[in-house]
Amino acid sequence: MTIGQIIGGEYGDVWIRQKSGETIEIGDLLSIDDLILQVHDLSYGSLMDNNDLARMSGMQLEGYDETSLMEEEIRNFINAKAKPLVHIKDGDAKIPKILPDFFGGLKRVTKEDFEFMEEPENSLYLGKVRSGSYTLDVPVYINGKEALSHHLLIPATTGRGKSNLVKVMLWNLIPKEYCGMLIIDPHDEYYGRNEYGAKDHPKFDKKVMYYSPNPPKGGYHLRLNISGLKPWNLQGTIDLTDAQNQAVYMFYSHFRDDWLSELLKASNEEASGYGIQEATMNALKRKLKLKFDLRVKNGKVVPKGKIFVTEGSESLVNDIVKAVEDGKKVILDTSSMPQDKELLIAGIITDKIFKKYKSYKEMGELEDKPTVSVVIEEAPRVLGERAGRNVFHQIAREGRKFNVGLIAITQLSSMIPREILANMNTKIILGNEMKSERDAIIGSAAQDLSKDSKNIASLDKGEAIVSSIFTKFAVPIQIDFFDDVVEKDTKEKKEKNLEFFG
Amino acid sequence: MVKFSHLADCHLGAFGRNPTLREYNLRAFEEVIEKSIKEEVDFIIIAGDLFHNPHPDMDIVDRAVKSLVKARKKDIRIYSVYGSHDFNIAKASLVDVLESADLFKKVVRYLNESQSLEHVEDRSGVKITGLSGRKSRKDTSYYKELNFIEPDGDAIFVFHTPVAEMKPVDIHEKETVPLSSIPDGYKYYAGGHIHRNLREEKDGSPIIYPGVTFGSSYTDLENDLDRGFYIVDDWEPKYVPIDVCEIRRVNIDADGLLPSELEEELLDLSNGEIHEEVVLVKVSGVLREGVPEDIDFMRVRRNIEEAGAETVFLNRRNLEGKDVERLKIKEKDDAEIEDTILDEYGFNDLVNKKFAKDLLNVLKVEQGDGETNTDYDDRIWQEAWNLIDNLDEYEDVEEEESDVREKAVEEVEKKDGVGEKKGQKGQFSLSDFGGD
Repeated sequence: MTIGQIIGGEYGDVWIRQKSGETIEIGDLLSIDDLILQVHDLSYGSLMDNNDLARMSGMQLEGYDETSLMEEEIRNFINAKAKPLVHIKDGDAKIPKILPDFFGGLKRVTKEDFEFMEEPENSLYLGKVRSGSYTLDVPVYINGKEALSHHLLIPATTGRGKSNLVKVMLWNLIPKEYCGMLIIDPHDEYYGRNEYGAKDHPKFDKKVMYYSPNPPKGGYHLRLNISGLKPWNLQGTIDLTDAQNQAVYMFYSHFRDDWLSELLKASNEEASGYGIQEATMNALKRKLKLKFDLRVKNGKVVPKGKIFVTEGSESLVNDIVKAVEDGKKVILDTSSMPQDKELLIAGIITDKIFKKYKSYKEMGELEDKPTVSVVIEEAPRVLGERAGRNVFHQIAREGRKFNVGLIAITQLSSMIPREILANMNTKIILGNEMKSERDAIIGSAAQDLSKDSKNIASLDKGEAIVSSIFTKFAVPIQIDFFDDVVEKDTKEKKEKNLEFFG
Repeated sequence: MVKFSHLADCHLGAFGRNPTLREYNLRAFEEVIEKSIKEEVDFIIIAGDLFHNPHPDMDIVDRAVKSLVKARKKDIRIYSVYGSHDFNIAKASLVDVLESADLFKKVVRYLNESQSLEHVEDRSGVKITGLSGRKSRKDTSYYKELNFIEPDGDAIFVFHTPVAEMKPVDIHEKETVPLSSIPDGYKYYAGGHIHRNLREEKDGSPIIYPGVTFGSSYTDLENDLDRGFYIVDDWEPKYVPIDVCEIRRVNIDADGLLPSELEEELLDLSNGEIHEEVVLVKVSGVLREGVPEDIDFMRVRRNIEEAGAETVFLNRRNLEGKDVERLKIKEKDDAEIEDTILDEYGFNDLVNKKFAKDLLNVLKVEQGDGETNTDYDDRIWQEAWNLIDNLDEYEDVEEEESDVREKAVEEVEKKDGVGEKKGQKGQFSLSDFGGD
């Protein structure tokens, strides 16, 4: 059924008169012939001049006798502005290069209009096609293996459904072999201690590992043996002078994995034997003890806290790297850690994964490995100008060559340098009322979203626009509600049937 | 006050082809029992892998039983779980026989209805709950699926499973359980399986792997591990080391050496008297030219033995010739990879290639669950020779048959490693090169 008609405009800004009795929303998808258009603005239109309109309104407001217009539905109307979104040609989606016919009648899109959308290889389900606030039963997939290695940005302000989106994505990715994930979770929300989460997935036991300083049953302790710390892990997390840095490397060259404990135990005489001055040594020891919660007692380095330990958990980093390489999803609960420790631990693990993948590339074994995706919240902490050089920066710039990508979640995209934003080749844009943030996202999107500022501002919770080099057009989607997904997928509870031997 | 011993991973019967090491392994176990008797412990806990396989040779059984009987005669109770090596899903293993003979009690008591574990109560009042290890590491799933009930009073949990947080960095175990999955409420956790002396805490209670009493592989011996067990007196664990022989470990960096230079360096090891009973030589690196086969390792071994060592092991797994050919293959499955390799090495003739593939199939069969090393070796040898003896069946290649036969014999001899006759001193079984 026709709900509007084209009455003018230009490419990217087609004017549509709304049929009376119909409602066109911002974000609505309308079809005409082989074209799908998306509404990006709405305004009033009238055949009467402004004085007549004001007079009419005055009479109504001031209580004059009943006033009515002849053929009101003809004289006053709603005007919608729309942009051609996609041109379906021979069953394939193309960037539109034409305008639809003048006076052409527009219809609401239906499921059949999206028959060209197929499920790609290594698919990652994102949601369903949305027209305004109406959801169509058309699933939206991207090639997950490709898209994840080319980085994904999730920009949104609070309350627009970021967590729900990441939970749904993680849920869908859990059984997928093509991708391993490291999820740094500063709010401890993805495992689902007290609500639905990854733990409820039927494949949780085989495919997910949960690390926490206070793990529940089945979870692993998140703590790092200091023998796994390397001097380069300190970069960006602790301010050292050149002399202190040299002292660190001096101890590393002599004691390798034991460098930190040997340094903390070393007397000033021993240090001077390596050419390190007393003042340097004392200040360095103080900084390192403070940073890693360590102290020296009876000639032994002992931990004061729960995160950095001297005994046990030797293989934590290797175990996590191996799990990710095996396509598992590893969640790190960093909610109880100060930010510097969170980023230090996340950096050490990510660095090891990245180095390993670089070596796979050198050996020609990369294509046999699953893509690795590192999920980082409040991304400007590591990707912002002030974050300095770190492994996340490095991955953002060159990770895709090595099949390692980021899923960067942020409220402040504008704090991330433009070239990094541009490298994030898939953006799942949720609602955002801040114009400066919308501008940053629009300026770096894979498709031209210059007309979509209002559209993005009006996105409700769970509504999003996917702009990606892996989609033919910027697809408006409705993200599933996580609790519904869990309930649907876990409806049939398996009977526990234990075959015990031993 | 209760006093008990905690030991694990004795692997009696390991080093099947090396009588010297096999004997030291047995002696280490005997010493553990002697010390436990001397310390007047109330009971002994064996946290799995008492034997290297479920059906060990009778001479091993004889010695082990004699030792256990000594302890039992002193009224020392013995409790055990299966380890990953001494368990056989298909038929009863020796551990079951020893339990039937009342030499010890297996403490794994599964209650089907509640899918939980019941404890065994020692005369001292201590409750002992056990969970065995499985070769396939299926035991790890039990930690998720069983309903563990917190015990009342003093209790010990005995298990044979690697705990992830305690795993040393150089041990590659795919399946582990997190510390959080080990059941709560026990006063002492007696672990087995990890061949290291490791200690951790769970809610204030010690969780301990005593490591090996001697070791079960050359890798164990090469790593300078603690060897011993724990005596726990009034819940205070104390490690008791066991030293039954001296081991000399030599690492030689062969990088850039000529085979003759390396051989000379190896022969220098036998200069002077050797006081250690066991000598382990690890040679690694890339030779400047030639191949490792240019070195007379037999002579090196003989000389070291003549200088006083009882047994010598030469580990040259990481020794390479410079001209080692590396093939890069990107095929889809094992069969395709084998095809490509055989083609690369000139096995182009169909019959020749078929024979090579059949032989490969024989050689790659893994040791069966519960199959002894000896049985495994014998089976592989038998099947390989059968194939060679029936070369006639690979028809239409009469003129090439002798070549094929030669190659096949070489293959088998290569697999044998040193080219000695079976049973000679210093010869190793296929499984000696395996894991734990």
